[in-house]
Amino acid sequence: MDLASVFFWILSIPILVGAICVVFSKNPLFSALFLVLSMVGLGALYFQLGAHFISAVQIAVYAGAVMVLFVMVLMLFDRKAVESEEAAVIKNSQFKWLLVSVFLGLMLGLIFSQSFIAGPDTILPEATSVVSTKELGNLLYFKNILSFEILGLLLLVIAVGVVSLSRIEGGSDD
Amino acid sequence: MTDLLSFFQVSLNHYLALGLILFTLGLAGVFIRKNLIVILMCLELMLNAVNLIFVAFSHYQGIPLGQVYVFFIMTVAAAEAGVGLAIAISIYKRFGTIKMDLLTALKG
Amino acid sequence: MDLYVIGVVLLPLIGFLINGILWDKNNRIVSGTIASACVAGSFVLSIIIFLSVRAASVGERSFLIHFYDWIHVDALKVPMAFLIDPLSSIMCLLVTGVGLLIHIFSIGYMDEEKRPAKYFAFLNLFIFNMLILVLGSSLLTTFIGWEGVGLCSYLLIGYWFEDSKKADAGLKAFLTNRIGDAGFLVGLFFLYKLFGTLNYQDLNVLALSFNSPESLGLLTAGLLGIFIGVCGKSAQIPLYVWLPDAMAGPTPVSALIHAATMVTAGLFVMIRLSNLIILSPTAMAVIATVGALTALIAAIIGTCQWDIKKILAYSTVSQLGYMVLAAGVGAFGGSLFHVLTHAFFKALMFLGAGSIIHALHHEQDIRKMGGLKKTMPITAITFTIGWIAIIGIPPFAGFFSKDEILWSAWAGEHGHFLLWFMGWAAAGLTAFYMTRLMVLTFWTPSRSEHKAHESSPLMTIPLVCLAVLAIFGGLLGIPEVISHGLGIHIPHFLNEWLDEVAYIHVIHGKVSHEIILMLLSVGIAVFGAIAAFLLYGKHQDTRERIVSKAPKFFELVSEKFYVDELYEKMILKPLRLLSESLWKDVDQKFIDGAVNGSNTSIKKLGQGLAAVQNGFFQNYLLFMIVGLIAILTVFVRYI
Repeated sequence: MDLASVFFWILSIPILVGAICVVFSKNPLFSALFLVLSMVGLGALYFQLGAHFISAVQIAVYAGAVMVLFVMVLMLFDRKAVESEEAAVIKNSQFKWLLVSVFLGLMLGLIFSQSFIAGPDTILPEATSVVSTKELGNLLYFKNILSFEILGLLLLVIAVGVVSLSRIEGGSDD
Repeated sequence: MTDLLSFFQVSLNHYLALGLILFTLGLAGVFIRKNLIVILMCLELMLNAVNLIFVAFSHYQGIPLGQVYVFFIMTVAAAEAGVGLAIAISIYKRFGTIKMDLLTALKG
Repeated sequence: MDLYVIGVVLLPLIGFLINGILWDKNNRIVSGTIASACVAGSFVLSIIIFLSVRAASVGERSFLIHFYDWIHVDALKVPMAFLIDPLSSIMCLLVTGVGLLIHIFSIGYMDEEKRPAKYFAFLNLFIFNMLILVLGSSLLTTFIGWEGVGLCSYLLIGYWFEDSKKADAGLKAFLTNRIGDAGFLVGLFFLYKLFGTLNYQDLNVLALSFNSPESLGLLTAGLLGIFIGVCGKSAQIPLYVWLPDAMAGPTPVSALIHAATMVTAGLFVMIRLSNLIILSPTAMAVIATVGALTALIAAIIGTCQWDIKKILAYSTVSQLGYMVLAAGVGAFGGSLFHVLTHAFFKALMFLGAGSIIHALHHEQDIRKMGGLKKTMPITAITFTIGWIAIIGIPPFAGFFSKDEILWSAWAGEHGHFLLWFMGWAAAGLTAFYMTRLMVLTFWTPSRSEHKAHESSPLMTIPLVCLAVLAIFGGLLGIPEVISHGLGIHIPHFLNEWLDEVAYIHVIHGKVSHEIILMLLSVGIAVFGAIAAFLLYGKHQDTRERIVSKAPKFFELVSEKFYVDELYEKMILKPLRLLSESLWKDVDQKFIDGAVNGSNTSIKKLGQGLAAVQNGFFQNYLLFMIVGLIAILTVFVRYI
């Protein structure tokens, strides 16, 4: 049991607990907060995997900005429209659970069948697996500049789209 | 005992399994929750699961490009959250609710 | 020549188109003048053609005018061509000449008509189709006109279509002719199979060299098929039933189509194919028998009818029977001779009847006529001429043609005593019912509610023209016996004229026999006439006594032997039942069931699938995941 293993097992607890609570808590606000917990745990796991920059972005942008957006939008709604006295979960979803279980089983089976598993001997030394921010920057701005620019354009379009979507007047028109 | 130890010794598979469980939880949440906002959160959870798998592969195979994908995914996820929430607001304005079991205008 | 022929055919078509455009205009004089002018032009051109055919030397009188290849598939080659020869040129003259007179008569007759342009358009269309029929160079071209005249006949019989009985009569004529046409087509197929061509000229050449007894059956089948068509068009037993009903149309139409021209189309085709018909004794026998029976039975029915047009209609059927009998005994020249003379005197009588009906405000029952000799002198005189001609008193037209037929039936190599006897008896009956008609219409005191008056010159002039033709038409074919007997040598014009296009065989029998037969036929005609004159004139009580002795028989005759009822029971009723069961059982239950069934099953399926579209977006996602799982399953298997 090396340090990486210890980290993994310790971090997987808040990640999974957070995720489960996101799915099952009645109050959407709690869901959001548990999601933050899960995301922070994931950010720590990224750090442990040598993705320092991604880890920072995960915590700052994801767990921070995006989740703040969620919480703020939740605040926009009438509490009654969002929280309900009855179950927050759709009833009679046995078939859905079954499907999800089948999916999980199939995927786990896929993973634990031998094929594309890197065995212990293929694990690279910890030191070399760290990707520096400089290296990532090189990859982003030189090798994948086109994708990056397209993404920028996408963000612009979405910014405009979100503004126009929010300005749509309510009320039924049919 | 060695078997148990080797089970606790993390490998790529552990990360993949964790990602998969997260993804499945997100999927289940999308399936069973009524609240559109929570459904969007569950989507975020699924995206995070995918991110984890990308980073894990990137680490274990020594290919930093995987992290570039994670970066892209995060950006798109943020955008998706923005659009999704804007749509949620529109739906709320239009129908006065964001509970998906009440929104059945697509019914054929 | 080419130009003339095109003109002959196209002028009536132009008239049809002009009147067709004027369709809803209500001007009898304009429409009638246009139509008559077109037919008059056609008639003049026909005369020119006739004269130029005559001017050609004997043996070279056939002209083929080829326009284009209508059908050219493999070996089947049907040219769109006209054949100008002695037969078609004389038929052209007949059609356009009699047609012209009847057009002129119609202007006077149709004075109360609501849609005169339509009427004249149909008349012109009829002339056009009839010309195609007689001018066509092959059986198939003739068939175009054959169907065309059938259509015009239908349109004109049902011309007063507001009266459903008249519309039904048109339908009856059309459907009865369909049966004949089917036979005609089958006959065409047989002949094509046998000879590989349908052109008249080729058929005539092949007929002369035909000497294979093994294919005689095929030839007979083909000829009998065509004879079924002739039975339909020329109203022979068993398909004659439409002609008496066809009198529902306007009277000039009855004169033109159902007495003078269209009904002779069948005879025309038989004369065209005479060289073939003569090869098959079986076909000859069938044709002769049918003709003689038709002549006799129609004459019997004619004696007990009261409707003036019905009498003339049965008389027409009877006379057509004579013509077919003539063809059946090989006297094709006599057949055409009778076609011509009959066209003259029967058109005359129909137009005279039209004049009477017009004067008496559409009264057609001869019991309600009478005394018209004084009030309608011109009609009476011309009608009397027609009467003398039809009963066969020399030297009027009917005598010569009827005598030639009876002589051929007696002495021809295909003739038989019984055939002659039936024709002879029919001649007596003809004299009887025609005299009966004359007596009741003209000579007895008036029993009419209407004051009759002489018709306008537009109607009387055609009557006079036809009367002249009825008197002198016989000169076309004076038998040798008479011309020799009188010491003057007038050749039998018609037989010589037709010699190169048809089978003409002049029978040389004993002179004494021929004269005795002539005297016999004149004798029975005179006897029939006197009998009718007495029974319907002074000795009405005698007639009533005769009728009361065998009332069943006379009822049977006056009800036309219940042929219509028989057809209704034997053919129409089963057919109707079959159609009804096809409609109700097969169509409604089976076909509609299949159609509606597929419809409802798709609808049910759609309704079932619509349940899937329940509007919950998570359900839609569910299907996506199902698909994903399916793909993964395959994936796991192959990894």
